[in-house]
Amino acid sequence: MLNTFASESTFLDQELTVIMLLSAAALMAIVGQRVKVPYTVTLVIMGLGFAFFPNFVDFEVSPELIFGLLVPPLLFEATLHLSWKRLQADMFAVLLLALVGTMAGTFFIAWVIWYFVGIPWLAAVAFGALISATDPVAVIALFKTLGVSKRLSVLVEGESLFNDAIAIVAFNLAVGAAAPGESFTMGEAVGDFFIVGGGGIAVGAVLGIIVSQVILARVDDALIETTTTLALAFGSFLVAEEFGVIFGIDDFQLSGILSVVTAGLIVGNVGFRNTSPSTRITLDNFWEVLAFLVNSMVFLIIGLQINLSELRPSAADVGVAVGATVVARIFVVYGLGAVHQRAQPSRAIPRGYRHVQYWGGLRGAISLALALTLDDVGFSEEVVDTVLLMTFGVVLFTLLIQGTSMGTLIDKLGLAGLAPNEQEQQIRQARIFALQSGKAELEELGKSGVLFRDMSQAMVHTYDKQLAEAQGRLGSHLGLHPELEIGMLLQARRDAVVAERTAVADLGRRGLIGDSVAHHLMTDFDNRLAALELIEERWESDETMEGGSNA
Amino acid sequence: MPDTARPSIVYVSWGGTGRGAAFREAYDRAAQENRGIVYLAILDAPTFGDLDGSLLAMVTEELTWLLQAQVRLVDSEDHETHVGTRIVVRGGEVTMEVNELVKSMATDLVLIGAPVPLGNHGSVHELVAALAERTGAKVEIIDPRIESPN
Repeated sequence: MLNTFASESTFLDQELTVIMLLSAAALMAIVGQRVKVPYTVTLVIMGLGFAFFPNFVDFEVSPELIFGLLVPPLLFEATLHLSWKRLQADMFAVLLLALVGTMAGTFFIAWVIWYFVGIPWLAAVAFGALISATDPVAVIALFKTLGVSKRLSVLVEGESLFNDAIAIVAFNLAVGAAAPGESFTMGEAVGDFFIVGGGGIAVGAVLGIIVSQVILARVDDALIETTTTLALAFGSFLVAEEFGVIFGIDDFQLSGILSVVTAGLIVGNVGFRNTSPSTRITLDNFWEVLAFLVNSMVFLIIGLQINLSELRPSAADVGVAVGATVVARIFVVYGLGAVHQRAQPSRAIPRGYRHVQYWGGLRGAISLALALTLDDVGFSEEVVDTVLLMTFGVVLFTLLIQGTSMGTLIDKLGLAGLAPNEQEQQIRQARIFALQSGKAELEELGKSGVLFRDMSQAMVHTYDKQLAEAQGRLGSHLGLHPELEIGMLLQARRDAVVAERTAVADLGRRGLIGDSVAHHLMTDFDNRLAALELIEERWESDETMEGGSNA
Repeated sequence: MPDTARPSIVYVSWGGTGRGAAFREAYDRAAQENRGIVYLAILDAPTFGDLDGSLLAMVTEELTWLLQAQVRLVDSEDHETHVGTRIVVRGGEVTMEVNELVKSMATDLVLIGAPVPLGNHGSVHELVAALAERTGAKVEIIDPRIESPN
């Protein structure tokens, strides 16, 4: 099923390829951090570069590899950290873009492609659908690096998670209708759409609830719980996709994507609450590493799969496809943005967020995987090649042009980084920390006799004076900005709990306390850290705040 | 020393220890009126209701710790009169918890620090009216971002 490597490769060749790709991923992550470009984009560039060394990386990509092995853990991990509360607050905006936006974008792009490129209508609809699936991975990674608001992340990630599913359902309907002997009626398509989508949600919900309430709530073992979530990520996808086969219903398939998204949302928002904080840390670490590995493979594969020399002869078609995609995104984001503004003024989305939603609509693995499945359906080879090249072109354009400029856009819009008062607070804190270190060094030199006593003391006194001034400056800054106080208190409390935890762990390592005592105390510290995280996330949340002016 | 004859002022918050400026105003108000202050922090059901017992207990403990630190900080600043402050952290529904505390203390003044997390309380105006009606006490919003008319 998974045709990962060319059959003539030896095991050693395959191992070497994987090692090289992992090393490339780590290297590109470092480069990405330095140049403020998503590391995923640097991976694509590296993948493109491998085309010049065809024997260097022996890798063959199949849609089954992407859908069966790479997409489920990626979507699952993304939804694990998506707060249902935040998603719910912006659900209308998210669904407007994901549902109406994806369908409108699909048909707009389809019409442009059908009219200007001249491929059959159903092939154009299939292209419109597959290219409407946005891929947030690159953008979300950048959001995390730059520190943009959680609301913007939820808007971008939420849209993408749902529009992937909708685009896939629309794509499958178009492709199914193109098969010999099949026809396409709108009524049937809408009916199928709800059965496939709703069924996928139901499968994911059932499996997610079972895992959350039965395993995560009743078993307190990090290894078992982690393994179960991994099985759920793949299992929820597979059960939905193979629903007909499993239950003996001919030609019946549900949305694997919606199933895995639903399962991930339930585990992240319900199941994780049922785990102990220690297990939660293990789960978080495991999924973070897995997501990094899978993401790296996905974007290297995108780069490896695209052959720039093949794109050149089809430049006109690719240009039309890029233009249609960019224009469709403008209509969708700003047009539906205006609708949302009117329908839900209390949850108005700032203009800057809209620009990021528009320019951050990158295309990636889902579009590519869908395009690769076209080989087996009823379109001619020429049409399939055209769709494939247009897909490569749009994916490449969005990743290389939009992806590399997202950081600058976010900077220009002032959506990233610390507020000026927070920055000033950190500068003043850092000065105090630096002065303390300087003073400690002088005291040490004085004690060891490198500096003679009087000189050391005189210099330490000078430091004391500077420290008092610096502390006064920090105090007056906090006096002007009391809203910064809690951030400092929370951070300091967290640091103190971590220090206590480290001290106990050290006692355990040295054998001064028993394992069960160490475990008991460590669990208590983990609970405290989890509680502090909840306080920061919920008590300090700025959602739906109102001042007292109208009281 | 606070006037022990008059009941303490209740300062209520159900989100946002960050509104330190509002608490400072409440503290000054209590100092002017020579009264104590009870800081009622409510872990309200829509926000914290999904937590299991042990985690909710830990959140209560840590929030109490943080609020005590914040109160000590305010207390350490220059004030003509120092105000006796007590912290009460409770889980539940906002109006019910405020009502219960106000009745048990027989206080006549409730202060709410702005900005206010509204949740499903409608508008600030509705919330203040509902609290005043239920508790029988005077309910005021303290918003340090709005200049006092004096």
